[in-house]
Amino acid sequence: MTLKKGNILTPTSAIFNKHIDKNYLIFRNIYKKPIQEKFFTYFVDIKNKKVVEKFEMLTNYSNFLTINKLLIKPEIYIMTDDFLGIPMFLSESNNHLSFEHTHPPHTYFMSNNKFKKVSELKKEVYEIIN
Amino acid sequence: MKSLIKKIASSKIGTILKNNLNYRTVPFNLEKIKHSSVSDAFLWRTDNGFSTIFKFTDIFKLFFKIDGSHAEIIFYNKNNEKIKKVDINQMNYSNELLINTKFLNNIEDYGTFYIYHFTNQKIENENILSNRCYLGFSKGNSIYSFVHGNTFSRFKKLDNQITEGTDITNTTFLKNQSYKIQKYFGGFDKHELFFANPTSKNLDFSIDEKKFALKSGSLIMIEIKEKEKIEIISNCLFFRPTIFSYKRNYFDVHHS
Repeated sequence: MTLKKGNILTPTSAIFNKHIDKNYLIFRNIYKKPIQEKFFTYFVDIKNKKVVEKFEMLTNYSNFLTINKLLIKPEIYIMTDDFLGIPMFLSESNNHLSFEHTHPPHTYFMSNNKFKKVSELKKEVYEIIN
Repeated sequence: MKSLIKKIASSKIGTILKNNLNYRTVPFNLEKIKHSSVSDAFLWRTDNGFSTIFKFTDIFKLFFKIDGSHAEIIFYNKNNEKIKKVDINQMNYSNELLINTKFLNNIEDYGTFYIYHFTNQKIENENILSNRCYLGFSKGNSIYSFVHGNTFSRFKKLDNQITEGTDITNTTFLKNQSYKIQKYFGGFDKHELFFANPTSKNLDFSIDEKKFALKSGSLIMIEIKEKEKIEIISNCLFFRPTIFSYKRNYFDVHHS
């Protein structure tokens, strides 16, 4: 259960299998208030600074999205608006599955400035979705 | 008096004492890796029909808005002998590298590799970059099953691309570190546990009563059958395997 609100930022191409047709994003949110509130998750082209797709999601719910493989590109990142959760990536082909989560962006830094650097990046992407 | 105790506790000797007494342990030595690019010990395997795909981010492009940075990927065999080095000069936000027998000059085996990021532009001294990355493993025609990096292992200073440093993970004199893997191992045909030594020291470890030794920087694969729980006792403060579990024609790979 999370008490905080915020934005999850994660790449599409890190774990999805772009060569197959069946890729799914599972986003589980558990918010402290026992309500189901709608919020949006955006697929953002950070190179060309534009939103390429958006999905409606619910709080306190395991959201399950089918991902078009055209969205699996190095420059396309997923950003949630206002709610946190764990993005899990599921791919399926010939009865084989791949299922893994991505790292939060601050794990790219072991130094004390990690949250500052991530905040700068998130602010930049947040400006695109707004 | 309190501040003196605190100072001693956080000193090098204090850390050694705490780790060996298994009291308030300090798994990683972050002091030595300031202004560095840190890499996990990533597993590659091309044995038994496996191929590996490696996905990594251009950290400088994504977080610092710097174009033209480059990455260096160094491959080792399981005995820690260097077998290949690749320089990647043109990167996208996310990148991938296929590691198969063709890429490794017909080697069918397993080993480790390390990635380091560099830029010609000035980066503040405080930065320690760590590309945790993602590994996908495919056996035969299966899709790539992904797992993320697991153990800080080696580093290069951002202004010194020559020397590869190690010993980010601390060790103890005594074999007093216990780690129980949170998985029920029953119901599978077999498991393969890949342990990479993240240190410059030889490691001793045991799984139940069976003892193993692992030389500096080396990799070992341990096959396990008919066990429900696994506990690792070692002299390393963060010593966790990548696990392949098999059932009929399927496999699962995950970190522990």
